[in-house]
Amino acid sequence: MNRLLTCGAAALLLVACSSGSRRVDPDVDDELGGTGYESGDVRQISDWMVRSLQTRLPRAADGSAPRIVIGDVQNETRFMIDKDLFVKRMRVELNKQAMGRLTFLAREDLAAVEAERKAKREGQVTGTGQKALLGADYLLTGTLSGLSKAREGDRSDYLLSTFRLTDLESSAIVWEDSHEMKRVGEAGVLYK
Amino acid sequence: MRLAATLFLAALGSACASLPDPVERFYRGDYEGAAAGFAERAHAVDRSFALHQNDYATAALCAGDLRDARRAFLEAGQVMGNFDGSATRELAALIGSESLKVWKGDPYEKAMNSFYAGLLFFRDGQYDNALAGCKNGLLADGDSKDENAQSDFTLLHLMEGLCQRRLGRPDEAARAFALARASLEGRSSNAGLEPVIRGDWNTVLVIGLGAGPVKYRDGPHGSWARFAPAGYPERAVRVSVDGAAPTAAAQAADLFFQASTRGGRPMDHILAGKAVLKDALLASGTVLLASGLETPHSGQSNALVIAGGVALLVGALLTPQADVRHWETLPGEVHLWAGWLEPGTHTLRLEFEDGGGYALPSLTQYWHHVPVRGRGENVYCFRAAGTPPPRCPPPRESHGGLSVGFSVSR
Repeated sequence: MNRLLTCGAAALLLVACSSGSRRVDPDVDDELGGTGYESGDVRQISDWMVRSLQTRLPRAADGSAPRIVIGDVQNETRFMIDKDLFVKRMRVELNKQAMGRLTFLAREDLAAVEAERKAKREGQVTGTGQKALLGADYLLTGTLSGLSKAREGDRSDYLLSTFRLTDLESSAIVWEDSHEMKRVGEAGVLYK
Repeated sequence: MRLAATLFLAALGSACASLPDPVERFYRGDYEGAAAGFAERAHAVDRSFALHQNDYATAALCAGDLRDARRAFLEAGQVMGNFDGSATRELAALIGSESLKVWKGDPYEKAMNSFYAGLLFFRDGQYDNALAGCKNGLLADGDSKDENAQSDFTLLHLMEGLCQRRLGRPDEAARAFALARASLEGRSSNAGLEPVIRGDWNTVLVIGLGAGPVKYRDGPHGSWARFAPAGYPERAVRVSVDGAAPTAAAQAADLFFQASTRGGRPMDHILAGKAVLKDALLASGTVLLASGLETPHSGQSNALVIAGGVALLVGALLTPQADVRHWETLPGEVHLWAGWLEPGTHTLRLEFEDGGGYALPSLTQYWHHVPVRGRGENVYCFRAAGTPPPRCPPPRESHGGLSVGFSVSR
């Protein structure tokens, strides 16, 4: 009787364990498939770009650490994605690894910065010294391009991800790198 | 005999009356209620998850919950575009019922999923992601054995052109607009879409009319999946702004045309083969069983009975029925209206007409205090409410005219 109960409990546990969410490695492709960008691709591409940029990090005109503002990432693929994932992760990794060799400017927070500056200037809140708003030396932008084909439910996607740094005084492209990959998905006979 | 006939009719009646509740609520215009019902279905994350998400997103879109609608369209699109899956489930769907497979939709459903998700990106000014939706939809629509197959989805070509123009690529926009003009979908002309193509507007209305195509079983053992046009009265819509004379919106998508021009699929042959095999097994099983029972008791008669029994059992278990799950809340047609409205708030009146040009006053919609921004596009989605839900059995001869046999109420 005890053995029966144990077996029953084990079976119930197995059934219970067969559903629900679980933590997985973001570098590993999930079972949901598709031929677009996976989390592992975002990590791999942003890591690639961070390494590349660190080896060729330009200086500002006055020799100080360059100030970079993040621009737009243009999505030209057939996948509707949060295209800012790439540059967000690049910024975080560069900030962690560059140890003050560059500065990112938070232009998306400019309205909040200006409001706080105004409140300080007017004495509504305490201030710790005035600073000028920083201008940017370089603009970081990217393009996600794709070449897609379809036949009887099968899909093939070549994805080219390019990122570049543009000098905001001279318009010179001072750094650029790319990453390419190709994915093919074959639909079973059920889905053709 | 009369009792049997009564029972049969009662069973048929109950089958026909058992339309899923959220679908009925949707077609009555109760979009919030329908969205709640579809959300409950999607919560199960079963093999029809993408279907429920599309239904939920459509109801949320009509209810004005655009953020949630976009999320749900994208989630459904991810399932519709994936390739991996459970081999066990796919084997079961091959041997057993096709409807055991994960629902990923037909090409016209994939195209519409991409259109709606793209439209919601377009509305937010994310033209590149909207363009991605167009590309994905056109790829699904042009998907065939012929690698050079060209998509003929007017709506997607049109939106592609609008996105390309916003992204500063006039040549690409002109190419897309040329394809939109040439994709007639059975219409005599796309001249009515010129106001949208010209681009001198700041407001565009995307108006869904009727119900999408009905997918139903036909043929031996229901092994053929066929499409029928849903019966609905409204075939045109005119838009009046602040009481001014109404102007016509133009048809930009005919989803029955898109669904019914896809052609055959390999699975149709498999299902036809399963239907033939089922008949053969049932017939041979009956013959073997009868022979076995008639033969005097012996080893041979036992073998005949066993063989006949196995053939009958396998024949009975073989399910050649086609999978007819389909996106029931899709409109039958999409019409577009574009115009320049002064920034501020406006009253819109949508007047629907039948195929003969007669007004359908019971369907008229008034929308007060519609905000129009001075910058960017103002994109609004509307849906004719009061359309009867897709019927069972499907109406086969009601396309193109006033359908009878149902009441329209608002």
